[in-house]
Amino acid sequence: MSILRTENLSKTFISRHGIIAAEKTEALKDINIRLEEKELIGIVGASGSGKSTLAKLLVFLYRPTGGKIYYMDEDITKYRGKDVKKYRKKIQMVFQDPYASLDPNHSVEWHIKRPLILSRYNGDLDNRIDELLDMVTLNKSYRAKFPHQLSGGQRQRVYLARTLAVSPEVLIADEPVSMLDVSVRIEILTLLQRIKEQLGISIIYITHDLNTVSMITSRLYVMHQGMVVENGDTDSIINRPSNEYTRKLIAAAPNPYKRI
Amino acid sequence: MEVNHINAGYESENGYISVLKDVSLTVNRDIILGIAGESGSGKSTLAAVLYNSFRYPGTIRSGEVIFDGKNLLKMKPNELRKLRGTEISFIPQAAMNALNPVKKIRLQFYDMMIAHNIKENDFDSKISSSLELVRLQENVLDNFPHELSGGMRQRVVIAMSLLLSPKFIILDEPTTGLDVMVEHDILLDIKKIQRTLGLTIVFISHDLPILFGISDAIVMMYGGEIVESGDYEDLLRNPAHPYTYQLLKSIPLIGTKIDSSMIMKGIAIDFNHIPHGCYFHPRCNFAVPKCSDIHPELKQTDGKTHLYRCNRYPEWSRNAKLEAIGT
Amino acid sequence: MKMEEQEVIKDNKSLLGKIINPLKILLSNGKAKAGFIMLVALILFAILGQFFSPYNPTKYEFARGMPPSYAHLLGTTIYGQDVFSQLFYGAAPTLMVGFAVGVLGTLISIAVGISAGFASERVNTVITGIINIFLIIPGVLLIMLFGSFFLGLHQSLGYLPTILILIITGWAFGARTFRSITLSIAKRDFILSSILIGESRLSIIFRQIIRAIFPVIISNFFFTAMYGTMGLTFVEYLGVGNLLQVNWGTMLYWAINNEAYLTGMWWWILPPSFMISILMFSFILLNFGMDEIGNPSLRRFKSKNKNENKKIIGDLDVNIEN
Repeated sequence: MSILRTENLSKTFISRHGIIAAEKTEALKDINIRLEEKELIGIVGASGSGKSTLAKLLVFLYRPTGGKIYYMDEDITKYRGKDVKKYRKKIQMVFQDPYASLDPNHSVEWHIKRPLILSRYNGDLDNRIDELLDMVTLNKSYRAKFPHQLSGGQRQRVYLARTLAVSPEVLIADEPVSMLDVSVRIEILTLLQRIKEQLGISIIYITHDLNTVSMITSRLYVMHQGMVVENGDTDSIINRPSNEYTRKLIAAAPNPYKRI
Repeated sequence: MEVNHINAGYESENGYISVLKDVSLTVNRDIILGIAGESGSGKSTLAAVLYNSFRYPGTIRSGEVIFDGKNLLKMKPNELRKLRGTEISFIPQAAMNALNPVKKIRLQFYDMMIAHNIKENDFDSKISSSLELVRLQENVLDNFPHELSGGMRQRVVIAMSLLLSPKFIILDEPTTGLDVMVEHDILLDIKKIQRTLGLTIVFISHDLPILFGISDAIVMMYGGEIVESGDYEDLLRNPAHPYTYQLLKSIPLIGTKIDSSMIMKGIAIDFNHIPHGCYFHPRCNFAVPKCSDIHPELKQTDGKTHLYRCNRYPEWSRNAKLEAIGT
Repeated sequence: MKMEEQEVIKDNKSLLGKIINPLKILLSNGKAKAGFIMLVALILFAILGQFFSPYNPTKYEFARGMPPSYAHLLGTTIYGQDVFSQLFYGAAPTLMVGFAVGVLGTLISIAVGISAGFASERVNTVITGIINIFLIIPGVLLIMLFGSFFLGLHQSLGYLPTILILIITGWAFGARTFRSITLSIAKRDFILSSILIGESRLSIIFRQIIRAIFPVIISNFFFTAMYGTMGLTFVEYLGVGNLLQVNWGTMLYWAINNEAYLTGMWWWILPPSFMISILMFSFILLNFGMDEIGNPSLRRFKSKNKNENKKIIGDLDVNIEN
């Protein structure tokens, strides 16, 4: 049984110009992906491929215009109100920009405490906060800090602790390292891997960067213009890409040893 | 261009914060010089200083930027204005998002030429030749910036900077925010333009893979000072500073698996609390006690152009190689 | 017990800190400081005026149209009232109207603006429509309309009708600002993140949005207070206020109505104009100061070796535009 699965998922945006005239943009066309339990999969695509739209659909920030989403084989596409809230406890999202995803007016402690309170955590809040900070390799002294006192990598780790406080089953990471310095990227990626292994959380890692995705994922979906153009085992896609677009993506992946 | 002993920083509530510390470098003609550094290394400050566009609260304490025998920092405003665009041009970070949103591209090109007293007859020929360089169709001229994609906007910005055929261009993070394929194409174009027109380009980026891919010579910055500089191949094959070595090692590459030895420990330098001794020693895998005491000077390796700032070279490098063989 | 006591002390401290710290920040900015001092001086002036005005400001008991003298510091009006007493006594109601309009108007604009910005699209459209209607109808028309409606009730209600009129005509501008700011903040990642972890809308509004837009709220307060003070003179000038009340607005009304500027009675028309200008100026300074506090890029810092910097900055400053 897959933990999360989509069936012909589609999304069409309608932008209105005035009352009658409207423009339709098909952002996603018939997406079929599946995430098994305790699995780390990757979705790769350039900007405009619809990968961020897919992420927002999976956490109900958008509504699909077609197709279905299954969570534990239950059709959740039509969920409203309370059901959505319940479902969101199971699935959390990490945003791309760690400079925008933390509220500048609140401390690190607040960011982790709120989800604990909202999910009615029974144990000792203080201990749990320290535990979560420890999980993301930050020590207690960070509790009182505010986002502007942290570096990009530290912010992203605080954000990970915030999502883990909800104790989700699925984590959707939308470009979690693309805004970070090269030297901290690996750190966040190893953290994702550890979250998967130690907490048994399934992770969808969404990115435009084939380099990082090839390092940590087991399976890969390549998206182009709102469609999945190739999917399968990560290593075999990297070594033997069957699709023309995938080949181009691999060729364009930055590499210091390759002259431009 | 020659940069001598620049000291610059920012004013803040707590007084002056020094960023650039005695930075000197020479930019040779007809090459791409890459300036690499993470956030907070002072590379964008350096870019602004090179173009003399460093503004309050930023202040330049001392130093000079010699361009064609003249000190840019001492130039009068109207001299500087004449020079900009025609001799030297600067594409700041995120310039593609700074195009005037309510003017068509064509008018923005015109504005620039009017400001530089170009004859009206030459307008169209100049525009079309610079658009050709960046492989854009002329119909983009009749669009507003928001109607173009990010890659196209970046091309427009590059075309604009080439309009008055300068010989020297400073690019600050020109491909940040673009996706890989577009980035790759633009980099190829920049390289081609540089080679065909014989331009000198200063290319500033935190993205080591593309920087090493495109540059002929490289300057590594850390904590506001140059820690290593030289030919790109020297730095790539034989880094003399552990920062370069560790940074190169931490680059994710297709086909490799993640490994905790790739992690660079510690966090980027904070200009309010600069460590004693070598700035990099808290994060260095090869640091010894003396590194926290002695601030190393810039030294030369056997090769003439390769400079480094490390107490333990070539000792650490040998150790690293032995380790690599061991595993 | 001890623990609890400590908690209470800590809370007290933080409460005190909550009042003092923003004040410290406010006073660290030169413009805000100047505005603040002027405003405090005006408030003191107004409070003292209630108790120590030399004569009864409403009585017609002196020689008419006297220029300033020792007995009448600012002379007398054409009706034989003491101008200084009027100015002194009339300060409090003028300030009071300004502040009341500022506070209440801002509260209404926050409520309307934020709920519009954070509500569903349909509610947003409806509220925006209402806001726009209030913005489109000329303020003067509304003042005349409501003013004449309240005209008969003035005696018993004191300043309430005037304040009501000014709030009705003054809230919409702020509401529009708050609506658009809220709209942009509601799309930020840190708000989306709160939605994802299951925060309720109200919690997001009170815990996050209000705090994020706090500088705008303060700045809007001063702006609306400014409108209130100006509006008071307007209401009086249009003759729909209670002209028997003594405030700077009525003073101006009577002075202008009796053509003080033509008959050379400058002591009657200049003092209230001057005081209103000072009040406006202090509001504007506070507004600008808040702007600089909220937007650090506008700030300038003191430096230890000022001269050296100035020289270099001076060189650079000229050629910002190329």
